Amino acid sequence: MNSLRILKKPAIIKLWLRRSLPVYLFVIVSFVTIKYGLTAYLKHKHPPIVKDDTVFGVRLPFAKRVYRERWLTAYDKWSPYFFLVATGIAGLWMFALLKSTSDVAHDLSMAALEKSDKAETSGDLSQAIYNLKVATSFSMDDALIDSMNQKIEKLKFSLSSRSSLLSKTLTGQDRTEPEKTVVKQATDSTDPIASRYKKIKKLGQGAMGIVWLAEDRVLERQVAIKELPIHIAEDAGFKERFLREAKLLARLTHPNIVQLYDIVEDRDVLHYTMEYVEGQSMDQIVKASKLPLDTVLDYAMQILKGMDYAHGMKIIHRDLKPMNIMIRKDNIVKIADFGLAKLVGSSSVTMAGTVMGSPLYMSPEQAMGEEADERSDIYSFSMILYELATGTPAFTGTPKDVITKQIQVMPERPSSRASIPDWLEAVILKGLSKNKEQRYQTISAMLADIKNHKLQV
Amino acid sequence: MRFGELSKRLLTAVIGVPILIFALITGGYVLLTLVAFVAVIGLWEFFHVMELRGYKPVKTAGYLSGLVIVFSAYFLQNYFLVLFVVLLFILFMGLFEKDNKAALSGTGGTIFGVFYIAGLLTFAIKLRNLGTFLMTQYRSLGPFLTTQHIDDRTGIYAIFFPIAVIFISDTGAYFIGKAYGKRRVAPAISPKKSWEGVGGGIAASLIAAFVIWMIAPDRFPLKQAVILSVLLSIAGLAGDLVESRIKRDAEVKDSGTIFPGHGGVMDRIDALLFGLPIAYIYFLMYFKFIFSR
Repeated sequence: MNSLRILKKPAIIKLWLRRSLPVYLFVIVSFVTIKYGLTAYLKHKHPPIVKDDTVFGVRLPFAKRVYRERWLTAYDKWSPYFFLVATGIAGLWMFALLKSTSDVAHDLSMAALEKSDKAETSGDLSQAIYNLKVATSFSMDDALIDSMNQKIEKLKFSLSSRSSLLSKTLTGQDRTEPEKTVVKQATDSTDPIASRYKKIKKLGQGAMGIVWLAEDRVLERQVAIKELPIHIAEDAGFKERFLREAKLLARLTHPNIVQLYDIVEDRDVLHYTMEYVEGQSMDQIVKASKLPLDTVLDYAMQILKGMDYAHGMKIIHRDLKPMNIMIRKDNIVKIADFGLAKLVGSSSVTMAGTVMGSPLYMSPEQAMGEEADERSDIYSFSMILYELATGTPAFTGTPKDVITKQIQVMPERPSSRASIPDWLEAVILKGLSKNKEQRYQTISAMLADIKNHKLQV
Repeated sequence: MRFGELSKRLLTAVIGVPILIFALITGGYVLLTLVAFVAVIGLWEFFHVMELRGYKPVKTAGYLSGLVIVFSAYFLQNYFLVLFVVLLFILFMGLFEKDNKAALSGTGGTIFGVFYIAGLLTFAIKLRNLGTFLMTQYRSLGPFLTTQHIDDRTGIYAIFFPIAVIFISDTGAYFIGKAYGKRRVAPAISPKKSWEGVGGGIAASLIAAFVIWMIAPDRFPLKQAVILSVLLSIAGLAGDLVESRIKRDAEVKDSGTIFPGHGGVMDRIDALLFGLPIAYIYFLMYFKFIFSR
């Protein structure tokens, strides 16, 4: 009866289901044999009755009397017993396999435990954790599982504490032995992300990398993780610049900005851990329906507040677009990926295979390859405001067309596409000036302008 | 000898399943007794859950109404008026309750329980009597103008089909979900259900339909059996979730302890409560279509 307990362990059930392959084959073969064999035998034993429906010797033209063939009645009667016997044999067989599977699982568990010990002594912590997990998944000994779980937690903690770049730099650990840790991280197969964060699902794939929803095992909260495939370990100068920038970003704390939690490097992939915002991105909302003016202004003000704060800290977004703006369920707007473009863009390594997203929100100076500043963000924001207010993007066409238009063409007047107040049109068009000197010079000026008009309305 | 949860479960099944099979095959008063028994126990558990939640069920009227519905399903061809009489009866008996605050929650809950448990369980009787019902309905046709064969065993087929399919689908869903389950179906209601398990359940129900078709090939065509089995598998999941939701409201895990290892009667029949009516409607529509051609 003890062997039934293994039906609660997923790994052992998997093993059992896999080992039961011959039983499935047996069931298929025996069922088909019974069905067709019995049918053939009974048809031979009870040949069908052929009878004409006649009334006084005249065959009825339409009515057709159908007799249930005798073999079918016999089949109805006997086939359940045959099938029952075959099922019983299969069931007993599965039960026997269940018993032997528990022995096999025990062996596997012990072997994994041994491997884990070996890996731990050789310093390969992630391998040790992996093998310990395997051992717990196959073990049936509760006391042993408890002790193994405790050990896993311990190993995980030591792994995650040596893998967090930010925390390490801030605590000064990195300065004492910089080379060693970097080399260690680059060479061994540790998996600091997997040990600290449990990936739950893919939230999306941007131009820069995959975004995951994950659970922080230590702090027990949900986070979003962005994977950026770049190297930072190779170039010492770049790493320094990168860390300076990352520290700046980590200081950005504002209700309208997605909070950066940590930056962790793992096997040439930078994991950018941030606050998880449950809601939709703005491009989904714009695509779904045209928003009422009140909502547009509400969102716009929130974005502006976030940007105002960041610009005050001398941080420029550089890649402001609806995909980067999250709207939480309670209508709080959060700007994501602040400063990420610079963080990643200044990397000396080119990112193979990545295509820049739509250049729809790129300012003329960025399109011409010049350096971006606060006013570039204002242009991008005006582009978003245009789309929010009219429900359609300002420019359409291939990315190449759009870039050309960004540099040369003024977009259509918003009022020709949707009914919007004159002052809003003026604000949008001022923000979209090709010459950055003619735009709003600061976010706070734009914010004040919108606030004034909103009050008058 | 120490019995684990699963062993208790197995033992209960070893004793309970033969009784169930005997009642289903025999039909008649034996099945009626079993259904009435299950309905009363189910109502008892349901009222218990209601009381845990702080509601005041109209108990006596509830039990009586449940029995009346079950018996009328057996003895009357058309019993839908009975349902309304029962409704009035429970509302009337509610007048004798002392606490007026329990009018909506208590009386409403009682009516819901009676219709949900006893009302839906009557379809077990209806399914078992489907063969004789069809025979009396279409006797006027004289010789059947179709190759579809109908006799009392049609009822046995009709009652076994949903029970077997839902049971096998549940089992498949349990093992596949346990082994491969990752994505949760309804984490807020029942955290143990995964989409992988649902897939496994549907696959198992398809296999069940195929095997049933092998055992009795001329009762019901394979195509219809496949469609119905998928419907039943989904209905079983929905039934499970509905009952979980009710239990979640009352913050209990199992609805009772009448069967060792199996939780309450309600935990066993929740999937069936959804499956039986769907199977009945499907069979009835199929046979009516066959005979009206």
